[in-house]
Amino acid sequence: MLEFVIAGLVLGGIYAIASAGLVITYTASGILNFAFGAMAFFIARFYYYLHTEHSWGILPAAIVAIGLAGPIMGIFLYAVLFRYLRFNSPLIKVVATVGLLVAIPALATIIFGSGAILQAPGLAPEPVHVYQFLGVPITLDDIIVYICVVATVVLGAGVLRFTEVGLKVRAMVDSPAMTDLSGTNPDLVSGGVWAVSVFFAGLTGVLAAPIIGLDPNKFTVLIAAAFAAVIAAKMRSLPIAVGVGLLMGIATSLAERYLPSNSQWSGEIIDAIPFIVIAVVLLYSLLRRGRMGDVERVGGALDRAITPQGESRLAGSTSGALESGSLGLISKYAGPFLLIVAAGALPLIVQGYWVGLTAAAFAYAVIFLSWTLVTGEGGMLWLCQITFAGVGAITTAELATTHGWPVLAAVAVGGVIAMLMGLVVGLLSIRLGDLYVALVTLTFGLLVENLVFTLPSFVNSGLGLTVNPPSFATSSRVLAYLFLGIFVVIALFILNFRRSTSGLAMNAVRWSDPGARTTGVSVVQMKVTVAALAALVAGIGGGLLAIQQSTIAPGTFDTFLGVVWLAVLVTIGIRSTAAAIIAGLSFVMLPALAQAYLPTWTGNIPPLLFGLGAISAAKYPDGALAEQSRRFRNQLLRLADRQKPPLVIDTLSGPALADDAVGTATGTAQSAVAVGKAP
Amino acid sequence: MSEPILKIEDLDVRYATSQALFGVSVDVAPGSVLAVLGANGAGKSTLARAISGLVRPFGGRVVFDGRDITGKSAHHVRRLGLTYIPEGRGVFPGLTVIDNLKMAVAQEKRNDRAPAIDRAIDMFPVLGSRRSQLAGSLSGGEQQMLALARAVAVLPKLIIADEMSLGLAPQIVEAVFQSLEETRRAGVTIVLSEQFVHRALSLADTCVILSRGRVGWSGPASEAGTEVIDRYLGDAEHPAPAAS
Repeated sequence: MLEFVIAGLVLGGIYAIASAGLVITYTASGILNFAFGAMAFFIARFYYYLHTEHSWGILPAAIVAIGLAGPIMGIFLYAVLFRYLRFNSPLIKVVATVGLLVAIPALATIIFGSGAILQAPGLAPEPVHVYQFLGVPITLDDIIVYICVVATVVLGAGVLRFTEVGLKVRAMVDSPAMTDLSGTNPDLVSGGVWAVSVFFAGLTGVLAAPIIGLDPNKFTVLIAAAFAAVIAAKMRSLPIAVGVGLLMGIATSLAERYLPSNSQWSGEIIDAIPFIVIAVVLLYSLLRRGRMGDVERVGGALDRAITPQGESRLAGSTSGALESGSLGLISKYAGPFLLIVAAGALPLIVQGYWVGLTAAAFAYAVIFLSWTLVTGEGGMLWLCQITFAGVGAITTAELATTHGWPVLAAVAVGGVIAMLMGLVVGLLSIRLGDLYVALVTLTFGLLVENLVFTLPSFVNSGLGLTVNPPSFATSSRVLAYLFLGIFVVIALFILNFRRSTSGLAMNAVRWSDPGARTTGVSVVQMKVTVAALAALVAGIGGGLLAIQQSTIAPGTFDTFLGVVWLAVLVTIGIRSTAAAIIAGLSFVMLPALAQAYLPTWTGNIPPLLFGLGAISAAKYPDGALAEQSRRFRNQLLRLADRQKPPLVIDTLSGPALADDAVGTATGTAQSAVAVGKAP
Repeated sequence: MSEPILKIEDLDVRYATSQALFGVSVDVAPGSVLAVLGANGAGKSTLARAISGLVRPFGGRVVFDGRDITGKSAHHVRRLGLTYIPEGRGVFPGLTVIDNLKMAVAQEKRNDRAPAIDRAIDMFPVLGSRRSQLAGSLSGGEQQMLALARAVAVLPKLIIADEMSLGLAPQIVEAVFQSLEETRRAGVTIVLSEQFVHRALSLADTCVILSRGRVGWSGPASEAGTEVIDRYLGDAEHPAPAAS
């Protein structure tokens, strides 16, 4: 048994270092870094590039990759991105780091070339020396992991507790504004924290590379496991994070030893260990306190008072700001209408192969509408919509192909099953707050991907499942129109929902959760309903995609790919139904166009752009397209309003202008409403 | 009057789309006490934040000790010798009392730090017995003592004290004002914004009354009679007794 505990401490040690890095940045900056795995991969790949591909020695390669490149990356990202995220809503923070999660591996592929590397050396010289300890073989790589864990814990705790630098970090965690007033530059401290965090990411990556190889997907899975330790630590406690990380490693190792090795379920339980930890922690917190508490607070009252808020919330803006009169209505609906008409003309204009792509784009557009609902309307970031799509696709294939159901009925049932899953995940996570929703849905996606989508009957020896289109829609063109029709129906439902009482209540929740509660809106019930409906839409979209592709190859519904989908949609606009169709077309057509007409290496540029686009959500929370069309529409309205006298509003004479309220309650969107409603 | 230590010219401040200060100009003479008065929302805290660098002015100039500090960051301003005690407990609630003081003197030379902390504790002996207590768990009055101790430990040239008596019991308010008196005797210039108008005026040399983001009245504190105060502050001179 000791043998397996010692072996488990290696994986556990890597979890521990990763969760330490995550907890440090979360505590210091309020940002949970979803891109930690991507950063770890990037640095590890850079180390491989120096050490293996360019024959640098271990020490210089490690110093340059982990000691220099990591911290520089951290400081750079702080300077250009994280600095501006600090007081944004948790949603935007998650979206921006998710954008990084998409952009960094794409960048790595452009720089270092593609192709997964299965075998990568660690920090020990090759061939790796093996020692015997109490009769247990331990490699030098393992020993290096142990040393790093001990150093992380001892140095981390020591520096934070006993040094002046540590005092400044703790002060900044408490209140950046007070730190500033005490004569310490909080930007310098934060930049330093990010440098240390990415250093940890790089260390994690290089230590993990000998075990999991160099594959961005595997890194994301590894870090998702570390998230379990972070959740158990309530995001903040370093010792608990490290302890749970170590324990999970040991548990994995013991499960490998004591579960029957010939059972398929053994492997699944091992994969599920992080998810089991998360489920236990969440259930315990739900039963004990009902919610995880105030995890999103950053700084004190002073910090909030000096920061203008309300203008930078993802999906927080109110629609209908400047719209009044017929021109407003026309300008509001003319764009989407023309867009649908143009999209409808597309299958007639293009030929052959491209018609099929159009149909695929419309199927993606339906899946994307799922986020328009759950994130755009519900204000929650769900990272497992692709999983619901996968559930819809597999159900469609099983029912239609194996059991002979009519294919569209199978799609509907697939949607309903996805909806039930969404309901359960929603009930488990929504009470806990936005950040936990993102974390739980990501791990849920990975769990289903590893447990269900890999079942032999679905993988079908790598061939996947087949789906036949309905008998009336055997041509791609008819299929495209069928999908477009379904898209329009769902889009109209969303538009109608937005105007309904429930939609208004949801809008109120997005702006202020306590505010909505005090007006009698049942926040949890609303959010769970919206999330379940969104899962239904994603399931239907997945079924449609399966029909278009006619086979569901394994890997079509990988969670990581779903994150790319989200990045595409966020780039274009998360609140607009029109954006969903543009996002569908962009996601399908841009890579296809690049493949058809541009050199091969450009294939990685679209994902990089989508990643960067998602990062830009920090600036344009409603998406680039939504921002542009809003500006265009306001320009039109201004031209039309030119003959009327200009509105001058003395904001200071308005109500509710207590000294602090000036800073906290005014946002551009709200002011825009005031302008629109002024007599 | 000698060259002012703090000169504010035509200061405009905006938060997002709303303007909070309109062309405010004030001079503060070295070693004097300026009382900034005004109703809720008049712009007192905004003025203090703009001077100390927490919010960036939209227009105008702030000159401190002969240097233009307009738009300079707060840590920069603090290092020049201007300390701002923000409204509502200017302490780090999550740090211990001693860590709070250490943060306050972190910019001093290494050898000067311990004596500075000792001096602050001598001035506020109650803090000495609470060194390892979290600042957030101190009583309101003790937190204000700590905030003042943090300010005077470094012997700044100027202290801006924003609503220090807010939410304190009358006896504690008295103690806070006594501490301010002592600080002034040590030669520190003080800018004080206050809800206890008469108490503030008795300490102040000059007075500025803000009204809707503009200077409504300014002059020597002794001339700020009942009529002036009534006109600009209405009932503000008799604030409801606040719970601590």
